[in-house]
Amino acid sequence: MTESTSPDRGAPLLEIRKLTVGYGRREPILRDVDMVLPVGGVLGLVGMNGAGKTTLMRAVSGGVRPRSGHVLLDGEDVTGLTTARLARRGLVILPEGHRVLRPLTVDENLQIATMGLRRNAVRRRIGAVSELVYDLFPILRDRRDQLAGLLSGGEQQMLSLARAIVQSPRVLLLDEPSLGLAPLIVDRIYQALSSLREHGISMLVVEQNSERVAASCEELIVLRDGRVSAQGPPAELQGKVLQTAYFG
Amino acid sequence: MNTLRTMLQGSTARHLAAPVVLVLVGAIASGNDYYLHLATAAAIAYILTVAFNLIYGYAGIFNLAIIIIYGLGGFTSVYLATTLGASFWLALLAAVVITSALSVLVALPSRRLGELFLAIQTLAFALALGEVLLNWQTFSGGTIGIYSISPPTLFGVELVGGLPGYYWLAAVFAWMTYALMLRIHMSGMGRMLTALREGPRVLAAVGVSPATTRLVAFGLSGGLAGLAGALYAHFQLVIDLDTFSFGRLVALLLATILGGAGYFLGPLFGVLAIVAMDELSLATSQAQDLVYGIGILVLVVATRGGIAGGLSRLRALVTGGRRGAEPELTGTELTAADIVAAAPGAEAAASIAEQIVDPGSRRRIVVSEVCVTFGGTKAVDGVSVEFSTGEVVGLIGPNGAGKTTLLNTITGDAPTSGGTIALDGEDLLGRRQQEVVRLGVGRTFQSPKIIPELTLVENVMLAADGVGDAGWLQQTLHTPASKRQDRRSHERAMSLLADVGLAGRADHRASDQPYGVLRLVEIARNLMLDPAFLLLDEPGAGLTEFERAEIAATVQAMSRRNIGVVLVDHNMSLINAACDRIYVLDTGRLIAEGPPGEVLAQQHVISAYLGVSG
Repeated sequence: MTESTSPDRGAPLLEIRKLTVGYGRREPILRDVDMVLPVGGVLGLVGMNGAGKTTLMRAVSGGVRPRSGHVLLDGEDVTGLTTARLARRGLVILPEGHRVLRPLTVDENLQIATMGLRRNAVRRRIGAVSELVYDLFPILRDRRDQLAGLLSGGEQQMLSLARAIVQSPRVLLLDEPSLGLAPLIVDRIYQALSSLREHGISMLVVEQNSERVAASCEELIVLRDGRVSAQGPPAELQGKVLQTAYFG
Repeated sequence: MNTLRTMLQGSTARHLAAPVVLVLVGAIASGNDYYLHLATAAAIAYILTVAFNLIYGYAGIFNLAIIIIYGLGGFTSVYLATTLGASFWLALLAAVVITSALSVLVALPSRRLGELFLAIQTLAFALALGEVLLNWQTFSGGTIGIYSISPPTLFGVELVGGLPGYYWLAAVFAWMTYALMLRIHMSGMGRMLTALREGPRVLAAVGVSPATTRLVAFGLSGGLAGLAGALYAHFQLVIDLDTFSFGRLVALLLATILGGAGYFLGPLFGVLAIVAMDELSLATSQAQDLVYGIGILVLVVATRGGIAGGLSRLRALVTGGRRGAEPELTGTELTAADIVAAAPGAEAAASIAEQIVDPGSRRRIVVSEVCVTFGGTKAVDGVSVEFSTGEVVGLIGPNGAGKTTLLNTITGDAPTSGGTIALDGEDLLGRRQQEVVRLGVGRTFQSPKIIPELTLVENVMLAADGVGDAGWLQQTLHTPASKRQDRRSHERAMSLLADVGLAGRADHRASDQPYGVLRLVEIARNLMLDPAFLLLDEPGAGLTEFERAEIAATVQAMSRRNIGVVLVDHNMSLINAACDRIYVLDTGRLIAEGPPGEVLAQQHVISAYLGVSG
């Protein structure tokens, strides 16, 4: 969390330029997508099923190689780097669904996130971050020796978010953090996100629940058929305007 | 799996392909003893490979007993024909029946075993049967084997292995095997076998018993292996146990995977590849292992799905990647927009509502005092709820409250430790899922259970395959009755897909489709079952608010069709829009019930579940 006092709040951190992505020889799923995530900012990404939201997340996080276009992190071209390398540079993805290692305990799940570090560094990192994690999700402290597979869906989602935090990200990509969760748990997750933001972590959040994400981001981007169909402050993208952006 | 359209076009060519090839091969080979021998052996190997492709490639069961069953077919026919003096034809028939029956017996005790255990069980059976054969000297000749097998006769003509007569005999059986496989491939049986491989729970969810389907696969595959064995024994005129060793199993596995497991033409290519590699290794002075090794390496690295898989991808490349561009979800768009505009969405749903209107009889599911315990924790703790047809009932509560578990108890997916569940007074507890489905209770799953290898329309048609008039035998042979049923269910499936706005994508493979589409397909598949009740587990998860509005309208339309809908979801606007009543669960107990407006305003519901945003 050393970057938490980053002075250049507002400067571009993650830039996506003319990104075109497709699988195999098919028609591209994303075409010429541009967006900029500033330091300390939150971008909300919404759109119909099949619009290309998850593909965008995968392309940015090294899950699929773009056909053309660039991804810049701190002005440096990171297009085509693997997910692991990007994670070491501070870009961490939290994929859709609750990705916890079910046969391991809560603590072990968190330790996995530090496997790339040496032993001393691991201790330092865990020491530095665990307080934040347990502050955000006290329930995980109570359950630290329980198997992750026995946690409820909401607790599993908290754990996977916690695991992402342990990696000390500067940019967090979140794919539907509220999927399948009860309203109360969704509140907790979003509270945690806004407190992470206070710690200086920038976020790109994909949500189907556009009202939810609109409340916590300063810019909303709507994807339709692989292109950006609307973009702007959430207050301006409502009702009829949003519907048009979704369906054309 | 091909679509009905390409199936009809390619149908004649496919039916004629086998006899034409077999006649050509026969004509070419006739002058040359060596080629003739090779062609006969290949025809028999084709039958055996089809047997393994059926059980492993299609049904996904790793049956390690196939080679010993193949051997048993050979020994049985020889024993009956040579020792007991039966005619070859009778012996052949008996060998097929016995091997088929024995294969079913192997699978019978494992009705509930998982895949790996089933493979181990077949291996254990193979070893045991091998021992029995080794020690049953009069039957198998022990370690020495049986010589002096007399060749079969047909109308007084002796068909001696290695001569043209026997080739034609093997060719006719290879053709029949091809034709049988083609029928299985095109019929509901092919769909059910694919479903067995890709997702047995889907079969249960459409009212088909996965265990029975598995037995059918074992029976068919065992019979074919027995046929191949009997033909092989009378071809060689010498037979001993060494022929049916582990090495043979490896070669068979190789042929199946090289050719393309699960592909209709896979066995053909597999046998050709093995023959070619054998010839090559002969030509290169017995460097057999090297040639096999290189062959496997090339194919595994270069193609997924073996030769047949490689060719079908190649064809896809040549024809431009796929069947045109992905059609837009116009239907969904229009109806969704309509719904947003015209409040309760009556228009869009009208087409569904028209189909069945039976307001008379109300049916009822009564759940009373049900408890479910998972190793010490009570997931459901004395819950009593009631659902009746024609109403939409919501089931909400925090994650881990026991909502899905409660659904599972109704559909026979979770064992209860107390209480009763009845549909119109008939006890549902202790019934298997497919029985519950047949009584009229359909369900969807949190993550859509769809067979990725099938097209959308085939996924919907699956719901008619198990409950239709044509039984499994008719479907296997794809008799006219089975064809009629297929046509009807195809029509019905298309109209249901049109209702949910997916007609344009009906022929696309499910694996290429986004999540929201799969949810709608799952609902269409359930409507195909004509259920009295439909239990929807989080149908709104992962959907946009516009798609959710459409789900709400579809649900309302179903209730007007007099279907009882139980809706589990976390989205309050969906619950509010769609439900007549709701139940709230928390840590396995019922904490509130009533109309949504009332219940959602209660303070303990808010603090247990809704939080500030409710």
